[in-house]
Amino acid sequence: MNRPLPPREVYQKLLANIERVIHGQNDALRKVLAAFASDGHVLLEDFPGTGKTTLAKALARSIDATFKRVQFTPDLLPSDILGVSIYNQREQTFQFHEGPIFTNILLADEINRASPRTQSALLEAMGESQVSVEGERRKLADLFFVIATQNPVEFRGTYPLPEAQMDRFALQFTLGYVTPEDEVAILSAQADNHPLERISSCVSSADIAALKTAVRQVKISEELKRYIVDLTGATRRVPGVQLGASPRASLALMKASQALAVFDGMDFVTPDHVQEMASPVIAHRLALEPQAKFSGLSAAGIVADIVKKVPVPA
Amino acid sequence: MSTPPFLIGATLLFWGAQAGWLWLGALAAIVLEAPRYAKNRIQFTQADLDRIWNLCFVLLFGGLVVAFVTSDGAAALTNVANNNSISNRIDALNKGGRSVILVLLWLPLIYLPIAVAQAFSEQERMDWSTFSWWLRQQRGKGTRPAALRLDLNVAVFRDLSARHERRQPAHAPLPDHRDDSDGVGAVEPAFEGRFLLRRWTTSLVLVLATAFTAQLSMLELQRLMQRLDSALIARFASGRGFDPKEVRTALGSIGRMKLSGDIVLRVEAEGAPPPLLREASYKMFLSPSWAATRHGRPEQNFIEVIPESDLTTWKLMPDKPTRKKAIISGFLSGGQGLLPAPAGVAKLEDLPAVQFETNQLGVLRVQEGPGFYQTTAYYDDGRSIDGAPDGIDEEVPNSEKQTLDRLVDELGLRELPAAQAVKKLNEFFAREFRYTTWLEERRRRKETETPLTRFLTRSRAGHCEYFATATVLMLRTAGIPARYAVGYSVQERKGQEWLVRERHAHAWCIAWVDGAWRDVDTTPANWVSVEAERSSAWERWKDRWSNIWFAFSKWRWGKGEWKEYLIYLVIPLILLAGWRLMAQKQWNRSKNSADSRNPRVPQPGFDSEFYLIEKTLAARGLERQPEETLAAWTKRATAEKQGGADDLAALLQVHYRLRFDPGGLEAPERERFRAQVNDWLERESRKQIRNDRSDHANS
Repeated sequence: MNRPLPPREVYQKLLANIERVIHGQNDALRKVLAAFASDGHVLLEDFPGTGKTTLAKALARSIDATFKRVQFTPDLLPSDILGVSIYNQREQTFQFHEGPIFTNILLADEINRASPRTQSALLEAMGESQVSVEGERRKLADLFFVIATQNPVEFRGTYPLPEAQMDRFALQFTLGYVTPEDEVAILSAQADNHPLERISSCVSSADIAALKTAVRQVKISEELKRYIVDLTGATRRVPGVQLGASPRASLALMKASQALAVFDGMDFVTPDHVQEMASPVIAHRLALEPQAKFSGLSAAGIVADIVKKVPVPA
Repeated sequence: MSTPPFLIGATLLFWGAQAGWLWLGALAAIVLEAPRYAKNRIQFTQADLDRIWNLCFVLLFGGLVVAFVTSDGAAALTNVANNNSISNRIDALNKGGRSVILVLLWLPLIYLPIAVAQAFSEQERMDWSTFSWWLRQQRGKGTRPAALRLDLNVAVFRDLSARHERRQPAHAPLPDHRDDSDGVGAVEPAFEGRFLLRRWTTSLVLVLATAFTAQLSMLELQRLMQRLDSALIARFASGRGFDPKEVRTALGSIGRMKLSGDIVLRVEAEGAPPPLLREASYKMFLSPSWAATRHGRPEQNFIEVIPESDLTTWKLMPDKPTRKKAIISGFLSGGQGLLPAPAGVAKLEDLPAVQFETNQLGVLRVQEGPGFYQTTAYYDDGRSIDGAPDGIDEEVPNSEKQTLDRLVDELGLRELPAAQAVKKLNEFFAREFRYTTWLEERRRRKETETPLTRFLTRSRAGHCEYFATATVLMLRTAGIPARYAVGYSVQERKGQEWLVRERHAHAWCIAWVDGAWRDVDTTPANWVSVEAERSSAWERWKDRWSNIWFAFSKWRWGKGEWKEYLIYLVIPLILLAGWRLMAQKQWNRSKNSADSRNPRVPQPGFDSEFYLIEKTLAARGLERQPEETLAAWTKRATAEKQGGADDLAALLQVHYRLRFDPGGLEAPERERFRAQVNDWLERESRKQIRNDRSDHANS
């Protein structure tokens, strides 16, 4: 390939490609791509069968990238993810067999079914883009994107992710059920074969790199930075919230907003971008007091309240 | 937990009917029940709630003061300050109680602001920290315990129902009594009826029992406090009482007598104070003791004195005119004791005793009274409350008879009239005797010699008890009835008042001269200075402590003058508190506004012409909400068919660049934008005029 595509075009191509497989999830796709473009990772919390895996696979196929999937179970060990050294009798050395984490796109399915130890092995990799196996540090691929899914935490047999680890995910949102029309479309699309089979990569790694660079270069005014900080700061003062959003949340919110600006073909962030990303970026990082949960408050509701309360720059 | 529908309303109505402000109760009921129908809710911040609670608190405090003043509590208290009679105190107590009842009655109104705030608040529950200063302090620290929320309306309701129960314990079950245990009155399905009845009855019985026990224990507590109070107040005051039945003298004892310099009495008098304050007198000498009288005789039986109508004035001799008066203050241990009084006392004022009695020996005894008293005694020479002399007042013990006869004969007292004899005896003691507290050891040779004989014949030195006993017996020998008296001598002046210390305790003789009992004090006058020499270095400090304790007791028993000003001090305090509250609010507000308009954040493009568009549309009822971005607002405007939508979207893009692109607009772009906005505005105004015209034409 010669010159990389313009960033917006990369986004539109990706979106179009994935939409061939995933129907009626425009908002969710926008969010996934925003996280993807801004070097964040995504946590999908949803019921089984809503298309989480398909989404991840479609994204991986659309890019010329490797894709691996790990099904998290309670007996999954860290080495199952990171890899393990095996003694090679012929060469009389230990040979490292890379685990599924050495990939471009990783689908960590049902992450909250694994033990905390395994969870944290994955989360270190997410945070630092490297893993330590047997005392040796190994760098992960430049393009490393995790889509984790989890069942709603109230379900049986789950280990809820600790707050600190939730904080590692840039975005969390739900796909939710699509409209009946879209669901019909899903059925028709699968008449012959799975639509996943039909799609092929439409952008190169270079295009993705260019997209990421463009996102980093998006400008953001001081006023909007302040707005972002006001939003996250407000979560720390809300009654019923035990733990508010961290500065990492502010950072993630800024980056995601920058990605949205690129998607919209702009070279600066607008307040709308910030508002659009506020809930998926902030909500999952809030730890509510048990009392507040019982009285019907939800983290998403609190963030929505805050967005409504903090005056937006206009 | 939520209250059943209309329960609060019904309760408030009931309260209104009970309190006699039905319309007020109805109003409050409507206000509190309104949220069931009105869907509008107000978003109260925690600071707002704090402030509303503060307001309730000030209202409560103010209510207390107002209730106190209006129900004459203040006047009653002032009365107590002026005249601390039992009736006044009971009156003050009753009125104080009445003010508390009054405040209880007002309680629903006092807490109405916070209840209304809750009723109209978006949040269903309030944080506990709203009601506690301490919890408020903890709020910022993040270590606060899991938030406990309070549904105030349930609490208020409970308070109400409990209160009405207490007010009318004898009444039949009250209509608002359905919910007194923990939220029984929530929603009850019909099939729970029987269970509900049982629970209902249990709560009723519980409340009745609680109210009854509380009332009983309150009474008991009050009684206990009264007793404790008077016992405590006298505990720190020194002073040994005299026994009106018998006093043991130190006649014949060896060594130095030790009496402390503690202040036991304070006397205020215009002019000269009464020189002697008698506590008791005795008729029978049984060496070394003096007994009141012979066993079984009626003189020492006490007779209760009936107070005047103000319950603090005691007329001992109603028909005796008096010229002198003295204010005597002191302590009564446990509210009981003998009252020292000048000779010939006829009337006592300001003595808030319940039981006060006297006997034929001139003893004034308080049986039930305050721990501290400051009474005004009216007295004069001449007649006194002591009974007339009888045979016992002339008895002389056989063991002393010989010596006494000889001395009386030597002085020739028998032939003299009583007054002359007393004078002569006085001179005799002054001339031949000296005062000492050092008692020498008795010599072995004369075993049969009594201490008194030795004092009279050989040592001629002793302390007041010797002098007094000798005087009494010599006068009796001379045929003049006499008694032995004990009490205090008033001699140390300090500023306006006279201090009476424990070591000023004194014994003297009262003699029947010219038809009245008169004090005869034959102890050499220098006894005072002899005693004073022995005052300890600590005395100054002890005096200081005594002064403080005295002042406190005075205040405690309502004798201070400044107490009546207390009430007037409270009102400015409330005003000050209210002002502080308001001032604080302003401060908060200004701080908030400073926060939101942080000057450090640059706001480029604030001169954008797009705001004119916004203003124009806002004037047409399309106002932008503070949380609404311009893009969202523009979309809304387009959806509502206001203005050229496409134009707006394009203009907004430029405006956004002007505002949020740190690069900003180039000068020509900026000019173009201005022109475009002006075009738009012009177009819109023309459209508007056209529309107006057509509207006009149509109408």
